[in-house]
Amino acid sequence: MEPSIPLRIAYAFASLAVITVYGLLLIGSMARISAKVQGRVGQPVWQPFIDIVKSSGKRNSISHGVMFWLGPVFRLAGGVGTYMFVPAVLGSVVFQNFSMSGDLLLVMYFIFFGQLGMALGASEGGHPYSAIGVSRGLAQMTAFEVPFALSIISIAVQYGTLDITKIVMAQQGGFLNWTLFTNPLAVVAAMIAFLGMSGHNPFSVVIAPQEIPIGPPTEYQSNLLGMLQTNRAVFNGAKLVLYMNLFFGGATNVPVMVVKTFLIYFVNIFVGQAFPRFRTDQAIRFFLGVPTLIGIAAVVLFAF
Amino acid sequence: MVTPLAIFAAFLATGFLLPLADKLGRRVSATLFWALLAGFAGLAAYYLASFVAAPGTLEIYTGGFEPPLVIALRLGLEESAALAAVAAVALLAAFSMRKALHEAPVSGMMTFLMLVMGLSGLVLTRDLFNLFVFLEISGIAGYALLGFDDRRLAMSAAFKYMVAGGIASAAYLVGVIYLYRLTGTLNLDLMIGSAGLEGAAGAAAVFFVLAALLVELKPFPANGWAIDAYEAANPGLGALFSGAQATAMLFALYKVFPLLSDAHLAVVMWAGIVTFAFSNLVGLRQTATRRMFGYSSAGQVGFVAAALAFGARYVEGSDFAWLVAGGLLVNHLLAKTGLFLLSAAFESDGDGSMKGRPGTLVAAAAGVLVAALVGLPPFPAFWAKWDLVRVALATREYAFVALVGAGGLFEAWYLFSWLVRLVKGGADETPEAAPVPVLRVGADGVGPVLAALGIAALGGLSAWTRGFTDPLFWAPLAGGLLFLALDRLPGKLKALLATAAIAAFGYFALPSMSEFQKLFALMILGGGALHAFAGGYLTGRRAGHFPLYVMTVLSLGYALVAESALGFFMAWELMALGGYFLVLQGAKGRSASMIYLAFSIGGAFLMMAGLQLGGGLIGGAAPSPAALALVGLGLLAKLGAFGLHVWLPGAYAEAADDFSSFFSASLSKVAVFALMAALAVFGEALPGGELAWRVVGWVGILGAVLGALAAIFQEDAKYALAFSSMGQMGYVLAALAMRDQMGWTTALYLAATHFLYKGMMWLSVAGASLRTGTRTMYLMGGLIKRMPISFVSFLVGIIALSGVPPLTGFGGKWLLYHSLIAKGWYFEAAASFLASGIAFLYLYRMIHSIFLGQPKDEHRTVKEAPFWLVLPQLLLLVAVIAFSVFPRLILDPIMAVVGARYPAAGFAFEGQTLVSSLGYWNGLLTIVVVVVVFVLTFIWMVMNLRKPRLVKQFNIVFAAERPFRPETTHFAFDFFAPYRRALGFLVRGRSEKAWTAVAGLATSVAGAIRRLYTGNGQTYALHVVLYVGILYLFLGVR
Repeated sequence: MEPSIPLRIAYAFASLAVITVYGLLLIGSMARISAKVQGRVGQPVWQPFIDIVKSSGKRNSISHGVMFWLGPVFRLAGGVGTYMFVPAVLGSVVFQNFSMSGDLLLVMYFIFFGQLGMALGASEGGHPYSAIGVSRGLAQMTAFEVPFALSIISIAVQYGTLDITKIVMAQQGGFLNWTLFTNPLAVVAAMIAFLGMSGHNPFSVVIAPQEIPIGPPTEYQSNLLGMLQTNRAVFNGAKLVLYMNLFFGGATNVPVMVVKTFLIYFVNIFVGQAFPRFRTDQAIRFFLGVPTLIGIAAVVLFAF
Repeated sequence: MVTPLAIFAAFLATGFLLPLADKLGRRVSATLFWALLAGFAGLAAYYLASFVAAPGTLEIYTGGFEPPLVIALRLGLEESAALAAVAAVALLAAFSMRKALHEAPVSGMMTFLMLVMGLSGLVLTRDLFNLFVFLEISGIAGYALLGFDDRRLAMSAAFKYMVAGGIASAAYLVGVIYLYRLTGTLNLDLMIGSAGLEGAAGAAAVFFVLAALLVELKPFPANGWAIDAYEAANPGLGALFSGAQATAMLFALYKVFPLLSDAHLAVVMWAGIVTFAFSNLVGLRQTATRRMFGYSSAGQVGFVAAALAFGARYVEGSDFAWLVAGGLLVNHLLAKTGLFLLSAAFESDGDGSMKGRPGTLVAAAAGVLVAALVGLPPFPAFWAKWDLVRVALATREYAFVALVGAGGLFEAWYLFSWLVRLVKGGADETPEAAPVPVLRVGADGVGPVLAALGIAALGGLSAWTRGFTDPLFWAPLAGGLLFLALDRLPGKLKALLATAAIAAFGYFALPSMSEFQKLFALMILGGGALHAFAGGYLTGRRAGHFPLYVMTVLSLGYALVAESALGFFMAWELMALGGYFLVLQGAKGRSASMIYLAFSIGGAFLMMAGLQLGGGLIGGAAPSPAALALVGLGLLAKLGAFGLHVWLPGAYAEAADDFSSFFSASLSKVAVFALMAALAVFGEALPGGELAWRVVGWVGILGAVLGALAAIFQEDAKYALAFSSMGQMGYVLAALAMRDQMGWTTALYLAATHFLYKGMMWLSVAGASLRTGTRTMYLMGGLIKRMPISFVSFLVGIIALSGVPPLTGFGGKWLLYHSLIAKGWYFEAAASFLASGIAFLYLYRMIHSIFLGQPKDEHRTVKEAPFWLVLPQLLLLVAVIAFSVFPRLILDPIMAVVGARYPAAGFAFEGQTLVSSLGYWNGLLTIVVVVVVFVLTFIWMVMNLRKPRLVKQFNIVFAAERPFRPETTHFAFDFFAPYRRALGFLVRGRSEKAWTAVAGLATSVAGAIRRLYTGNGQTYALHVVLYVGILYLFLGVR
């Protein structure tokens, strides 16, 4: 039985609240883990909450124009929208979100919505570091999209569909049915792409804290920064849920989702703490090299 | 009827009287001279009119006896037409030479008259020996006339001419002696069919006559003497040689055709077409105008001879000779006469430098003459070529067709290059320099304009007699002429009138259109009207823009509704021609327009060959893979498919901004239309089968990837958009190559949406570059505050193009990936992902560099783009939004059209949800979700704003410093430097290099061949003798 529209909206809010809180906790805990690896004490896990409250509470001292304001709106709407188009928990009415709007392609392309809007807002700020950050980010993005796209094509061939729910259903009935085990090459390609997507080392040149302090968000402060911080949580959550659905069997309840997404995200930290940073052109060449070949192999394996 | 013998009597009498009359003063002798020429022209016109009214022939037996006792003359329709041509050219030539003739000794006028009389005799006589006499009369008069104004160069050219003519005469005489010995008569009619002609001796005798006539027609490569003569001659005399003498000689050749065997005719055919191809090839290297025209004349005359021989070999009856050879000849003689006269009026000394540029009328005439000579519509040679190629393909003379195509391409290149020099003036592309002044030539312009009018009238007549009576067919030409007449009106008024004209065409054309045609009419005529309106954005008259624009748009419109392949092809060529001139009108359009022209003409020729192979009629043709391949190649060139795209960036970027927009948004779609229509007509089979289609798909995808990649490295906004269009059309091509319901739905959807958003982006950039005076993006910046509407338009454009939901572009991506994956084209899908990612790069770069970032000091007061640009953008914007919210608005008609061809539904609607075997997409729900989320987020942002303060431009966190200048703060130059380091090697213009190498090869070969022309009379004599010997070997007489 399909829920009514008001109910559906209510569910969406609930689902969003869960992912936001969880996403913030995830960021906090990962930061703490990173600190431990580096031999520091690190921040409390709830620090992201404090940051948002603090940012939102400050007065806006500066604006550079309409597009500058709209940047964070685009960004957050992009994050929330992306999540809204992904079914988070299989079989759950609450966490079904608005996934009936479109299939995997809609999610993949809606990811760009926030990035593009944010880039435009940052541009109006007029700060050269913002533009440099965007230039690096977009350039890197085109490169990691290639192994990711190949991986998606491979699983589209494997499952004969781009419908996320159907892909999750096909992986039910034991962990050996997960894409991870049925199509490991596609998962490897996608996970390497995920490193690029998340912007941790070795692909952190986009926000490069030393040379171009934090890149695109350079000019943002107070509540606008708060929105960007909120988005990080939601957007990360959405991407993690998407990966979980596509490659790791999805989730039938919230605890499973939490565990799986935590582990997926942990890969970032694991790699990030071990490797130094690539320059942009190196990153581009890297993604178009071995990961792309793996992606091609994944497609070849299932297509022919 | 006045006997034609009177012509000889009058000429001879006047010739003798002239020296006497000259004693009374030059005015008297000149009056006599002009009276005679005018009278001759009047008589020729009278003859022509009489024979058109009452066909028949008049046989004149001199002395009252019957042949073989006396010399016989014949006057019929063909003869009177040739006489009229000789007379017309003689009048025009004499008019152009009037000053030189009046200043030179009276013998100049006398020899001029003798030459004309000799040519008339060549036309009229039926006696082989008499023919020789007239050959000699006209020959000697020609040598004398070359040197009549006493220049050293002319003297030496005349001598070489005489040597070659002497050899030809000797050969002719030997042939005639043998023929008389073998047949016992000199009368042509009695000789035809005579038993004496059979056998080796007869064939050899005929060959000598034939060889002499051929040499007189200046065949390649034994024509060095003639080229030198053209170079040295007064341009008026050049016109007389090229127009009148060639006509008479061709007529003489045509006369002896009944004596020739098939082997003889084959020699004429191949000698002629080789002359056409190679003379024009050599012409590529020529810059001295009169010498260049000499090559062109030799080539054209060879072409006519080849067409005549071809007709005699393969086609029954004389209609073919009339239509084809006659069409080619009259086209050549009028066009070349006009061009020689133009050269006389505008050039300092035939070295290619111009004294000034022509006004609109004379420039239009020059354009008509060059276009006619090259064989573009609607001029006579166009129709003639069409018929010739049709028959040549039907008789499998493929090499012949290839030579026709190659020669035409070479000729187009150098003639249009000359035209560019003429109408733009000067030789270099220096836009900053003061414009070349207009040279008022007065009476000297009359000849070219008359020639242009004549050629246009004959072209129109050719079209009419072929049954093109549909008003829509004539609309492009009529529209062009109308706006040429209105050219003095203000530009804004003309923009409105042009919008109305295009809308009116649509109103009349639409009822007869199918749904498929209507879809493209929306893009082409709708886009045409929008861009016509946008054409009002510049101040001033915009001289010459609107006639060409209206002609181009309406020919595109007619191409949609044309019912015959010929009608379609005519519209196609006319559109290419209009586009060429519009690109040329750009400030730096010279080289771009020439490359565009070369690809257009080459592509069009392939297309013509394909259409003819496929049977020539839309709807009634048999499936033919070869036809589809040829037509397809021609269309891929127009589409700017990868490898054939080298013309595209320059042509799109260098045209006027509003036309660039139309070019990219609308015009490019006609190739998609034609490709789809071609598949319907010729079937889907290509030589090579499915693999060939896969290759076509990859050509599209490579275009998408490399077009996008090239776009990200451009600093010039228009080049970036041009490469972007190349990439976008690459997707369309790939989708089209899938040939199923999903692929074609995708192709049509992508084409339609590309029309919408690319139009917005081009027009927005047009406004920005109008206001800032530059197209270089890093010189702009921060225009959002000064030009908010243009910004919004560009913003919506880039969101739509990038494929980010919820705007229309996402639909295109969704359709594309679904159809590619469903088809099993996985790697094409992956490459599309890459291309679409790269598209983000240039899109962001453009909007950032132009509209965001730091505004420059000099742009702080710029205004929003003119209303003329803003309104079309807003209309397109509304359409984009409407189609984004309700994708069914556009997808339903598209799917209906596609469903008629491919019933198997890979895509289908369930309510508002579009479903495929792979997934689903609900455009309406998507946009609702996005809008709701966006609005909620927006409200949150607004509610949390606390006393924000709009700060000045430089109030940014800049390492505790304040930036110094916007130029140093606007990060925009070489924006994707890391990308260049990583992948720049992929876009180093290999296609350009490959095509440059091809062009280099052609000019090198031309240069090598040119060494034959040493300028030495003895060498030329040897050439002639060897040439005759080699032709004899080809004859294969045993």
